[in-house]
Amino acid sequence: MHIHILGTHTTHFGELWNQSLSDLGREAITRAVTNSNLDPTDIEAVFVANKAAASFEGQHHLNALVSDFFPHHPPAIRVEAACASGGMAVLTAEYALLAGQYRTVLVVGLEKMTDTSSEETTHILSGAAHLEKEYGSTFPALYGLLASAHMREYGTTREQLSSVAVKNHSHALHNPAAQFHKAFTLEQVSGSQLVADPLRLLDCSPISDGAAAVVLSTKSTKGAPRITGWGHAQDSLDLASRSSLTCFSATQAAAQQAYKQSCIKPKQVELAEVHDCFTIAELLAVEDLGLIEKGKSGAATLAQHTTHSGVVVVNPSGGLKACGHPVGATGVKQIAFLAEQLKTGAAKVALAHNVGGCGATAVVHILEK
Amino acid sequence: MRSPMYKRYNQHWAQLLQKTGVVTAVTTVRVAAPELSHLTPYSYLIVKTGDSQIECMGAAQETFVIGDLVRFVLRKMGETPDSEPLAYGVKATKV
Repeated sequence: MHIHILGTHTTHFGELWNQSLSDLGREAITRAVTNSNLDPTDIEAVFVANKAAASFEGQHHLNALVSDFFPHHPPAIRVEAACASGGMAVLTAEYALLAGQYRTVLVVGLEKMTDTSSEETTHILSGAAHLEKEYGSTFPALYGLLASAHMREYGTTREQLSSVAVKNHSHALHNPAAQFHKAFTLEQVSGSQLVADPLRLLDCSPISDGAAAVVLSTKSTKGAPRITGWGHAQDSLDLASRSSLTCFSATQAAAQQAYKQSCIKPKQVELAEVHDCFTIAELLAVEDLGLIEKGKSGAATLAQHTTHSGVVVVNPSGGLKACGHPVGATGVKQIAFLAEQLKTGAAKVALAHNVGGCGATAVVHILEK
Repeated sequence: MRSPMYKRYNQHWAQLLQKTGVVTAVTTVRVAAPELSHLTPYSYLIVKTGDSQIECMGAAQETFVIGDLVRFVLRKMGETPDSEPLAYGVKATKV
């Protein structure tokens, strides 16, 4: 049995001072239901992806708030898996559909992150790690460790890291919902402020507000994109317990599950939305997903093999880096964006990859036309 | 941090102090959490010691490269209000 994506909507991502968490969620839900040609009362249950509304907004009862957007108050379940909350909520919805509990559900991911100070935001986001934050780490520092290990083991260069940011900002120019519509050069990225060696400001994804929603159904609908495979795996929360700093084993395991279920091979993937919270994260992802040979992702990106003229288009939306990263919304946005691309005929096979923390949680989905 | 949490997080100090290890990954943090911003730039390391690895901060102003031999020492971690425990923790210093 396959899951059909009947409708989607992604709000604009960015620093949206005029829109509240409720405004964003309501817009995503209303438009996704409308795009599905359904009535709101056709939605049997809602799965809500969010990392930290309690901390960012003081909202501790988000599932009830979202259910309130519907006239019939459907059952609503909140799912949290740090930055992988969106992918995990889609996965949870799929389990409920395949169990036969529901036939048509909606998944919404939403996060409002810019109402707090940067210090508060840093503190809230650090909750996705474990003990490291007490010992001086930050998320850029953790990914800085991974970047330095990849550079040492595979000779990945500063210019190659920068090429990820340049590419994704270029892709975002064509995505109206993206937070940034500004192109950068390799020199600008490589010359931006150091945050945690070797990562610089333009290696990092931004703080964002935004929401995305998808309507999923087991009812067959002609022309609707399908989710044909998925995988989910975990690794240790802290980096020090890992056997390798140059791969995410959770991503590798989740990808293998998804490929096996969908009977798709990595070389068949035409579009991939991968979790590029930092430039090094995209390089790790395309290798762990089998899209690019291990150790060669930096050279492949610099050689433009992961853009529209290449072998696979990675982060056509602009990714987290340039489209934005409203944490709970990101995984849902990936699915929504890819479904829209498949509907327009841009590709036949697409992959979404959503990561929580520093690779402790990974969720992979395969979508087909 | 609340006192019971602080005690739980740091109850293995004694086992680490004066042990040595080898740096397996290193970064220099330039932008830190507010309570640690006065220490920037500081090194953040993964150190292999025996069969395990730990993550820790490098001692003040020291720079490290992968392969450096280090020893774990007790150092002040950051500033805390009077109502909270003194923020001491394990850092690494070059042997």
